[in-house]
Amino acid sequence: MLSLTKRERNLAIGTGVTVGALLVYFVIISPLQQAWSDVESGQRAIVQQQHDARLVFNNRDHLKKAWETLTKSGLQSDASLAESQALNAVSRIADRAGVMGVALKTDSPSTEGSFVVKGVQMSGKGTMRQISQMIFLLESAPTPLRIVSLTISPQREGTDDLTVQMSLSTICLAPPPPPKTGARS
Amino acid sequence: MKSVRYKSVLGLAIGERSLLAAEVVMGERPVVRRVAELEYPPGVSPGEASQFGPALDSLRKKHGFSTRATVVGLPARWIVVKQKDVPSTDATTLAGILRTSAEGEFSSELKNMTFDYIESQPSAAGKTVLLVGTPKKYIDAIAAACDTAKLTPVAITSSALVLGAATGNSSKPAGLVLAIGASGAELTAQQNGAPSAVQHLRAPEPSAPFVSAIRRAVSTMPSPPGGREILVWDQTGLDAQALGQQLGMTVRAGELSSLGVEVAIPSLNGTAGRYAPAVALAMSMLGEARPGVDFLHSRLAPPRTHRLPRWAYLAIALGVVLIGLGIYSYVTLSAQQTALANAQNNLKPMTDNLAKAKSFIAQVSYAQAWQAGDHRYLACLKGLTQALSDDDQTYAINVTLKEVPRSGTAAANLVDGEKTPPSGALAGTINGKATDPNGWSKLQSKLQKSQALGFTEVQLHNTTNADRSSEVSFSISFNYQQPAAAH
Repeated sequence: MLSLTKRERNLAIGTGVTVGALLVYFVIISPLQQAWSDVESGQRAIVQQQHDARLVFNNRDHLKKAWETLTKSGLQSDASLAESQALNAVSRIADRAGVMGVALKTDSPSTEGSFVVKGVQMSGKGTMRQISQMIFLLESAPTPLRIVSLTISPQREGTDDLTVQMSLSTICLAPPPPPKTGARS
Repeated sequence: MKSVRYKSVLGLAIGERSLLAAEVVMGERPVVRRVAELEYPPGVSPGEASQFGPALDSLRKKHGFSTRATVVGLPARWIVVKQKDVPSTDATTLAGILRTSAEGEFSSELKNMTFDYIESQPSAAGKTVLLVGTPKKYIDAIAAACDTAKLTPVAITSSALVLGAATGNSSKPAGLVLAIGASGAELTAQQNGAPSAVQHLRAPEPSAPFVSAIRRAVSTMPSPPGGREILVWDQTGLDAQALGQQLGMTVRAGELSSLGVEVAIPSLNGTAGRYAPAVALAMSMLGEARPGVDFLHSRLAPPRTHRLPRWAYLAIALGVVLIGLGIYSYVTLSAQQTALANAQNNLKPMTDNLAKAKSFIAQVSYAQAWQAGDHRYLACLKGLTQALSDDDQTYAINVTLKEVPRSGTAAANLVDGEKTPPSGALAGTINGKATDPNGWSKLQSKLQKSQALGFTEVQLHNTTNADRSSEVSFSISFNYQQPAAAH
């Protein structure tokens, strides 16, 4: 039998214990730690997802009221109706504000997500007060209208006879997409 | 051994043909409460637990012995004794010496024997001990029989040695003690307050050979200092005086009261002395007293040998703790992983609703840009009007405002199926004239300082003085974002 001195035996025991401890660490402790870490990060992600989802649902519930207001105040589901509604509203507002010589023209519609956006070009003449009144009424109108651009220039320099040119847009709900047909064989 | 005070003890003196039982209760003076004798039925031997146990149990029930703590006395025939002179030393060393001595004396039987010893009073030269041994099979059989009889053996000793010691310490001590039973007698010698020898003798009938046997035995025993007086505890009705005359020695009959007990059983009618061995056994364990020899808790039992060193036990304990922790950790981890998987599964049904909710939010957010109440053009024009001096020296000719288009990426991307809503910011250009050469710079300065009103990135593009007058044409561009409070 191999005989060892006390020093050799202590060295052998120390080496064995160190190797054993390293083995235990790399084979058992480290994978367990990793697994625990994964579980903890997974739990954190779940909590975050639940928190985010709660925020989204709360926001959705809050926006339901705004959607009801939009639909009640004239958000149409037909493009021609929406166009007609917008033209009438602009014409009425210009008339109410005292803007004269109103000319209206529509652009071709474009689809933006689940909406159709229709452009309206408007021009007219009036004083700064009348034009301001018209802008106020347009921006306060319940009809879905949005001023895209505005140019005010004088008819004659140094006077309050002004020309206004506006680009507006209105939206309506886009028709639902046609149902997908099955794959051809 | 843990020190226990017994308030009542049952003594069982095993004989060759019968067993004597006595229940002694502690009091100001111990009281013998019950006594009984069990004559072994045919085929029953105390060395056979399977037969002896039920017989003992029926004895206990029949005579109403309620005490569980039991001291069992073995007959002298079952024990071997050897007197040894040993030096005065501590108990551990003495036990080692006696263990070695026992190995030399009884080597062939040692593995199956249990040893204990009784010490005498130490002298200058050392002391004498009586090494006592008995086969283990008797200890095992008696322990098993007690178990069957629902008795708790608290000590297993020699009846003769206990009776001898009790008589030696009694009010009338004697050098020799003879306990006579129908099937044999036991003779004990006392020296220096401790038993020094014990011998089994033949039955008292016929008388002549019995007397001869006593003479021979007495002659081999050391002569006690008080002379050769024999105290007889008789169970057979022997005439002590006649025996003394035959032996040529003083012989007197023992009385139970000399052992320091009271007998509370009137029916015994002067025959209580026959139960002396059982009473002495019970007395040997009463209170804090302990018998000199106890095979059940032998001081010569081989010390426990540790196969592993102490550090190995610690290492094993540490290993077990670590393995336990590992298992606990693994089990807990598995439970957590299962809980996490369940939580993820529970989230899946919510995912569809979540996507619909996000899509709805994007849709409403987009449509809200066309909702009334956002007076950004009016607010921008108001700001410009305030910035222009009211001194008729600076005036605007042309104002252009338009929405800042969304950045390329945002414009192209869909958020949950919906376009991102317009930014709401405006980009504007104001063209004007100023009769004051510094009018345009005042306007620019005012706009730059009015960031709180929403004007940013105010830049002068050109200034011209076309018609050689003091009037200067200018063009200023800016960005406008309606302040949140103005919405």
